[in-house]
Amino acid sequence: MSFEPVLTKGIGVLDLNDIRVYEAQGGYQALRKALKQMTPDEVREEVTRSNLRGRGGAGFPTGRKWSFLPNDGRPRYLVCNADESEPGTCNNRILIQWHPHQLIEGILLAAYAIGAAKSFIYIRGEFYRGYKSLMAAIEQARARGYIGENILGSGWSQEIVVHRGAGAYICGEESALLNSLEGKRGEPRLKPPFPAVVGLYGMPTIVNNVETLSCVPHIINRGAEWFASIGPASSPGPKIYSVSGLVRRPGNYELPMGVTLRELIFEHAGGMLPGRTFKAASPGGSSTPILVEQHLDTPLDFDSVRAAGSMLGTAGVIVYDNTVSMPKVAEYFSRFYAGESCGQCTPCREGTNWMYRILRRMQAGGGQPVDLEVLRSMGTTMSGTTICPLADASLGFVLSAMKYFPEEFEALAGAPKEVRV
Amino acid sequence: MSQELVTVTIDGRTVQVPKGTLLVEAAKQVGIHIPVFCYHPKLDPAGLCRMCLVQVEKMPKPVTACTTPVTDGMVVHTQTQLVSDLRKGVLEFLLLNHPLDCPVCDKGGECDLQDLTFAYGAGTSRLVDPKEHKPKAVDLGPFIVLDEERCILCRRCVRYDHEVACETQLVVEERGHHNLIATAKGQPYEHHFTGNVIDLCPVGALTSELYRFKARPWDLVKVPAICTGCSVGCSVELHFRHGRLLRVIPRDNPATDGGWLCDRGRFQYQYVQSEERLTQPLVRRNGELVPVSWSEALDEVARRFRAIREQHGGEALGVIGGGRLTLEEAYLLQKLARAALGTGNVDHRVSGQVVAGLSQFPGRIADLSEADTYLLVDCLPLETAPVLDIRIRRGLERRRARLVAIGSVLPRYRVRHGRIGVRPGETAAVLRALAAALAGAKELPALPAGVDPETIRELVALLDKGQKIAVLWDGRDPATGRTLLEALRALQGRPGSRSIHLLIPGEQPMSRGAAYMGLLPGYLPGYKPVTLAQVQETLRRLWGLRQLPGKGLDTAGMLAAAAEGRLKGLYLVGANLALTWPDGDLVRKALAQAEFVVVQDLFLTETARMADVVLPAAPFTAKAGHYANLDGLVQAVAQPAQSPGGAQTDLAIFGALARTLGLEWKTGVGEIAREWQALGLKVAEGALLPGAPADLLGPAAEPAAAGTATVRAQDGELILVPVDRLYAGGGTLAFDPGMARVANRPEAYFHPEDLRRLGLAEGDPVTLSAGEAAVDLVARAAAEVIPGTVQVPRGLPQAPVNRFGGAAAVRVTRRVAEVKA
Ligand SMILES: Cc1cc2nc3c(=O)[nH]c(=O)nc-3n(C[C@H](O)[C@H](O)[C@H](O)COP(=O)(O)O)c2cc1C
Ligand code: SF4
Ligand code: SF4
Ligand code: SF4
Ligand code: FES
Repeated sequence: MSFEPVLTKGIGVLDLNDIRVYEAQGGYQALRKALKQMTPDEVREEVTRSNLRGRGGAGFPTGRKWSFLPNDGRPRYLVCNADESEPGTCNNRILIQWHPHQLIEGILLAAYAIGAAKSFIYIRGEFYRGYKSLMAAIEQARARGYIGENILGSGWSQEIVVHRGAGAYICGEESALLNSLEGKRGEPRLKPPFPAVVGLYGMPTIVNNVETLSCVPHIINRGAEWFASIGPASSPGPKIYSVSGLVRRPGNYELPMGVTLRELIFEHAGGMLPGRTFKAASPGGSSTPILVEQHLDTPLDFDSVRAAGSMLGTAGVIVYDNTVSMPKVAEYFSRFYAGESCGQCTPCREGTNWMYRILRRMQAGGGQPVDLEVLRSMGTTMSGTTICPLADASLGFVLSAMKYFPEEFEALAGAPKEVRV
Repeated sequence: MSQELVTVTIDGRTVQVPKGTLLVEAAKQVGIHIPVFCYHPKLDPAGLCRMCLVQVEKMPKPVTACTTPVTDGMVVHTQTQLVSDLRKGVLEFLLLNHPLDCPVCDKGGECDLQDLTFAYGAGTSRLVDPKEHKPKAVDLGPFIVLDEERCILCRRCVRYDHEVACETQLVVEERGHHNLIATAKGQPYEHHFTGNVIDLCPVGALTSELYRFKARPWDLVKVPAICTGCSVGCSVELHFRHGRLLRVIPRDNPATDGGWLCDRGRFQYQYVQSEERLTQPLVRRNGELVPVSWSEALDEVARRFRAIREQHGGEALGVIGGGRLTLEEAYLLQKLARAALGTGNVDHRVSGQVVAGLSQFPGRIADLSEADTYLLVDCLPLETAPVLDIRIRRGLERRRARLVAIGSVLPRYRVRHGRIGVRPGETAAVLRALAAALAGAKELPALPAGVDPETIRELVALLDKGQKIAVLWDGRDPATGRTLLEALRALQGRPGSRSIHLLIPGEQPMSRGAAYMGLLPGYLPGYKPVTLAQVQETLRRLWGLRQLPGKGLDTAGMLAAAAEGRLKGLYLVGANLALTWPDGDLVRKALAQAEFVVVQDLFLTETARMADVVLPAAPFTAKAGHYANLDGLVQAVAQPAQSPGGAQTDLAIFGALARTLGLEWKTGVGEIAREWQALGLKVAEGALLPGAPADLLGPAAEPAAAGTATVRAQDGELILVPVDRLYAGGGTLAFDPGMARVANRPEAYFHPEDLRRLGLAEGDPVTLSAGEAAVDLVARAAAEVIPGTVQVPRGLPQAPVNRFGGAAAVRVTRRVAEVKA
């Protein structure tokens, strides 16, 4: 089966940052079409029928999310989540930096569909080059009449505001992002109410991921049926998988949703390094439980990965081979979460740090039998008990690695020696 | 919350509660305790600590009972293994790096972390690693010390600061387990309501600088009382150990404090046991005040007063005070004046406030929590009666109420509000125009310079929108009072329905009660005019008199008469007129001229120093009886918390003085209650005393005369405006070691433009002068000061603004910096 890339087509070959090049590739035709021929509801309908599911991690159907906005006359906002900070994930980055017009067109279409008064892009602070690309692209688009007042003579207007984050992973969580955008501490809000009802500045707000929004121009151009026909019906479309770790050719691979883990690693990413064997992979960033040998034929779509006991997450696939010490990786990731917890919830604030300290001590040779008991109990005390899923995320690697490779952890935990009588 | 009821089942017990009730509250109603840390009924639910997680059928994950409103048919389980494990888990997490210094913690014995660990925690810790450390004993502000290690980061303090105090001073810093409670930009935590965070803190992380390490809670003797710091009359509980007052906390009275105290009410208590408290009567001998026995002092007082009366008649005597006493004491004081000294010269007013409550448009403090519109007239509730301001701030920020301030002092609020700034004396003119506009006049009366008639029209439109309008006025200028009532009547007469609630906050806690008790010239108890034959008859019989003295002089009249030598004897009770009366010179002249002056007070105040006899009075902690606050609410204090020591309660002093004067009066609380009954006065816990008749504001003056600026400034002069400041005032504050840290410095507040125009900078030493009078102050810029005026706090002992005798045109000169030795 041959698949021609959709989202990444032309990247590395054409200068898509130049609006003329983008236009020559058919860029902004979807916007033109929507503004001239479609009502906002028709755009939303098209996206709903395409069965596009959010690429930010949770896989929530995008058209359905858009339909949750209450019709009460309050201004609405669209926010593009460009905070991509999940370890092992870099698919948003290339779309922002090398294909900014595709994203801008997606934002404009979404803003049109939901009736947004204004759109915002919250971009990870470290993405400085991406930020520059976006700003330049916005200026070009404004000069061409795609942004601003009375776009393409349609009477419809839209502004896009770009806001740079300041280096917090948690600001990728949509409600923390909104707080941060408002100038408050970047901390997740209690839900309900969800952003669609009470969002930015208290107004109904839609938050969508960069890749999600980048799909929209193609859906409008080529139709919902075309999009829905790619990959499995329940989660269709093109998908960029970020493959990192110990493979021969790490990188971003755009493939039809539902490619198997095996095909991704062994065909596209070039397989394992010479003399090494596959041990495990995190399918969707460091937050998702690992998959092992027995899962190699799992299709990497939202539902199949869930059935295998993990999550597709950001599709940041991190591959571990037989030389990797799982407790060492656990220590590494747990340090990340301990540093990134916002600190609101007791279990997350205290638990992530305790987890890190235990794993660090085990790594340093000071493990004790009680350590494993404590780590396992966190599966109860930290899972599903907090305001946002960061606490769960911090358990993702650790508990799954302990499940599939218990002996590696036991060896460090000073497991009680067999007692001879 | 709606009236609709929903049915919820918690651990098999079913209860019906109003829709919207939080699960944690619904559980309480069926007697199920769900442990909480971050939840507090007076704060918005935050769901942070995760201690209250319970299981709800059909919900995949445990839910926080403190944020989840119950829904109909909800089935909840709080006693499952999972819930128990989660509680243990949260407690283990919270104690992980906790310093476990409970043995030396103030909170020990009343700490939620201790109590909930005892009830739900595991017996041991599984922590192998060393504990992590955070800063201890951080000075957060003048009164509050923070221990970051004990802090469980429930954020009640931060949330209170934002949601209730409507400040933005407390913040959370850092991320994750590095989280710290801190102040924005590291500034000291300083506003008028900081102390409440100590009560809110569920652990010993926030402690009182004054109370730290002083006692264990179980050793404290706790006595209910009423705060006498201002006219709000907050309900407090006094905590004693070995007879020393160590702490004051609120008792949560929805009619007054609403659970919050101001920092003066909470922290100003050490004066009660100050070394400087008077414990022995003093009598002037050869120019010196020397200690004498009580009987010697009382004999002297009785002898001299009797002599003056015999020689010059009762009208040569005057009695001033009572606004700081109990209702019983106020009643007895006016009886003493009228029946024992034979004078109608009685007045409780000591600061220039003429009324403390009017019978028209009666308002309650709680109305402030429901009002959609506030009208502030010459009033700074934050400085005069602070706890009122919490309700106003909340109203402005959370209910989006509207506010308009009119006057020569304007408050500062961080949300948009209307303001009409004028010179002293001009407020009445604005109100007169407002009254005319409200009454539909086409042509408005003349307005003070700088006030646009359009503003008055906008104000009318704004007031028209109000359904419930709370009006606060400082009660000082009678012309302002009259025109204010005129305006309110015109507003009432407009189409549409609305309710109007007038409150007159003042600094004396009991002005309204004292007025009602007859400490007003011309008015007998119950505001009965002295001329009313029927009351005269009752009182004559009750008091066993042949003749009741007629209408006497008010405070100003008495002082003037004394200064002119017409009034010979003065009895000042809890009245430090030298500092509080607007015209300080008049007070000094009066006290110097009078033949015989008796001062009854806790301390040797500026006024007491000029007395011939000083009678040491006991503080409120030694009293039982009733108080009436600014909205007329009567509150009882059943038992004295302390013995009066060498001093005596005012009630006991009045009784003893009456007996020394040869009168067989029974002066117990019970006897006084019987006299009230005979007079038809209803005084009991919870009763509402009516406000004063509007006659107190004097007859309506000619329109042109009223409401014009009292003084005009020449070139280079500014008009002085005395203002209330919470921590100014000589009174008890000057003698309170705990309050020195916040006591207002002698400062003058200028509009930034004026400061610039005068070539002055913040912090410059300046002298304000007018004629002979001069006061040294330090210049400060404040945006709310009206251009052309300069504000100086009333009652500063180091810089008495009453030297200028009220509003005056003053010259401002920069002092050459004093050379330091
Ligand atoms: C800790 C945490 C971090 C997250 N970071 C990101 C992120 O960097 N980018 C992103 O798009 N979504 C992130 N999300 C998911 C967002 O909350 C949100 O679901 C998403 O932006 C919705 O977009 P979508 O519907 O297009 O997927 C994060 C969620 C959590 C809990
Ligand atoms: S789970 Fe962690 S990151 Fe998420 S809100 Fe709670 S403390 Fe913050
Ligand atoms: S200081 Fe007290 S109230 Fe504030 S967060 Fe810490 S424990 Fe809570
Ligand atoms: S507002 Fe007044 S009565 Fe209440 S605590 Fe403060 S000083 Fe006392
Ligand atoms: S009490 Fe409910 S989360 Fe803190």
